[in-house]
Formats: sequence, C-alpha cells, structure tokens
Amino acid sequence: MRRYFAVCGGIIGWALGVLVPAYGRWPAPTYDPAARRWFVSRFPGPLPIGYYGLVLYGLAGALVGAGLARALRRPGRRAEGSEASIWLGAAWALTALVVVGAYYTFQLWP
Amino acid sequence: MSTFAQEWARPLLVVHALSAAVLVASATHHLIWCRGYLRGRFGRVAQERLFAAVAALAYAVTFSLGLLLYPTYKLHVRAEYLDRADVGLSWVARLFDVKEMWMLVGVAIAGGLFYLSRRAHPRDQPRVAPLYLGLSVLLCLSVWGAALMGLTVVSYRGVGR
Repeated sequence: MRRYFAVCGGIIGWALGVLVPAYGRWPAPTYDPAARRWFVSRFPGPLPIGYYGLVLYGLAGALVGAGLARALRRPGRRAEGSEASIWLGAAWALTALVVVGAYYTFQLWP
Repeated sequence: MSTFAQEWARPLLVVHALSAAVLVASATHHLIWCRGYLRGRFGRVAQERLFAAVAALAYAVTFSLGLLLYPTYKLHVRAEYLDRADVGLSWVARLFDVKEMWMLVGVAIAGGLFYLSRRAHPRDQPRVAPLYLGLSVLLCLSVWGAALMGLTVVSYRGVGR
C-alpha cells in the first residue's frame, strides 16, 4: 500500500501546489504573450500568464507530497496501513481536489 | 502582433478539440466500467485499465496543446475581443478561467488514476477501490464540465484572426 499512500500524498501535494501560491501571491514564472518574454512576478496582471508557474508549483507539490507519504510509510507493517488510514488517505485526497476546484470556481465564476 | 505558436493555432485547436473528445469519451467509459468495484465486481478489468491509459494520454495531449495555445488565446481572443468593454463578453473570459483551473486540478486526477490502474489496481488491492472510483467520478465530472465550458467559449471566438 505504499504506492497507494504515495498517490494520496501526490494528489494532496498537487492540490496545495496549485492553490497556495496563487492564494498567497507567491512569485512565479510568468509569460507575457505580447512581449514574448518570461519574467518572475507576484501579480501577473490581466495579460501576462501566471498559469505556467502554477503548473510548476503543482509538480513540485506533488513530488514533495508523494515523497513525504512514501517516507512516512516505510516498508513493513506500517506500509500496509490500517483500515482507517486508508479511508483517511482517500478522503483527504478527494476532498483536496474538490476544495481546490470549488475555490477557483467560486473565485472566478462570471 | 504575433504570439508563440500563433501560425499553428488553428490546426492545434482542431487537434486539441479531437483529443478532448477522446478524453471525455474515455473518462466516461472508464467510470462505467469500474462502477461495480466498490461491491467487488471486477468483470472488465482489462478494458477499464485500457480506458484509464487512453484517458491519461488524451489528458496529456489536450493539456499540453492547451498550454501551447494559451498565449494566442490570451492576446488575440481575450485581450483583443472578450475583455473589450464594447464587446461585453468578459463573463466568457471568466468561464474560460474556470475551465483552465478545473483542467489544472484534473492533472492530478488523471495521473493518479493511471498510476493506480498500473501499480495498485483495486482487483489486486480491494482497499484502493474507494479512491479509485472517486478519482474516476471526479475525472468524468471535470472533463465533461471543461469540455462544455470550452465549447461555450469557442462558440464566441476560437483563436482570433
């Protein structure tokens, strides 16, 4: 079940990675399509694209989350996980996805 | 003023749409094939795993093409048309933003589902079934929603000139 927990950790990490930097306005790689140039920005504005930076943050979050989950579930008895931890892993992973999707939906809804 | 990959925008958009159609179909089929997993019914595992792989591949293609097309959309569709006060379609631009965020969140869904289908399938480890089925439901909902929102946006303007 180590792989299962790694997937749960990766999903939660991805969800946090695409949410927290946007919410906290962290600096991110940004592309200006008019000037055709890259720069780092906290507030991309209406035209420059901060989406690519969020993809990178999401990838980083997924790698950290999966790595942490694997490290916490070392080979042996703990790696199998209790019934409760398996349900909690699924619940946290699915909830993280729904919460992030809902956040952006309500934030951006026309 | 030209943007990155603008000369390829129209054919790329067509491939993007075809790939999205494959994604919607494969995600829907996947959910149908695995709907009995919570009750321990694993009748069509081979087909279901194939649909998980097709969905992941179609997701990767659709998402990557979307990333390539985004600068053209942002400049020649959104800034030059949708966001103009006299056009009055800024709500369409915001609908597109919702779609792109759903697709961003969905990367983890498609990737996680594909990985589980290959390395920790519910037939071999039944305790994985709730997460597996949950991811399949979310993938189906998100790609259907994104496809409908994308079609709505394109019905107003696709790639500009």
